[in-house]
Amino acid sequence: MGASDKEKQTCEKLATDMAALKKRIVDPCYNDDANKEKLIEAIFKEFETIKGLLDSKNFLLGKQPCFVDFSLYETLVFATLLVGKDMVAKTFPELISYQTRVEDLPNMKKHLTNNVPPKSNVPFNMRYCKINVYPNK
Amino acid sequence: MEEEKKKNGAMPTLAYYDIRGVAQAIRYQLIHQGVEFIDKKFPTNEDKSSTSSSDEANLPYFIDVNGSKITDVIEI
Repeated sequence: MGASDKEKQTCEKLATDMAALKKRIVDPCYNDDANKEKLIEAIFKEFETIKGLLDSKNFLLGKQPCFVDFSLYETLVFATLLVGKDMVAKTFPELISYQTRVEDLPNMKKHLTNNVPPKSNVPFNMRYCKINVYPNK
Repeated sequence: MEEEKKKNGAMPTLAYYDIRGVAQAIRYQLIHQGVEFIDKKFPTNEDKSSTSSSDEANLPYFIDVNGSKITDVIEI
């Protein structure tokens, strides 16, 4: 995780931050009082922070992806699903570009186009999720 | 070939429940690096009738080809 000691330290800190970020975005969806509008408002604030973290870099640490990028990517998949891809593309196009960059990494691309077990490929567990993440289904 | 590698313990194992959860970023990292691994998935509590095994006590865990086992997400 990271090439130099300094990168490793940054990566470890970011890994903790990314885990906390995912918790902040995903966990409230399972609360009894979950409110989609409020959640989206909170997610937009998080998006601002992520945008700042990425700045003009391709990946969180620069040109090459590392573990924290996959952690952030996974969180963005959840958040984008919740907010709606069109809305994210309109307000935070750089975050959609980032997701595409991760998806376009050669092995990732190969993996994402192959069949994956359906259950493992569903971000939210709709048996417990308190908001309608998939309004068209 | 893959089956043979699995049989000989020549492939590392990542174990977690059969959901994305905290393991998904690790799966992606391994996939990105081109690491062939055994993606061991335990049924979630809602999907099983039997009680949990001790093997499930520290999910996710990762066992490398030397048999070393680590359980912390960041460590993995």
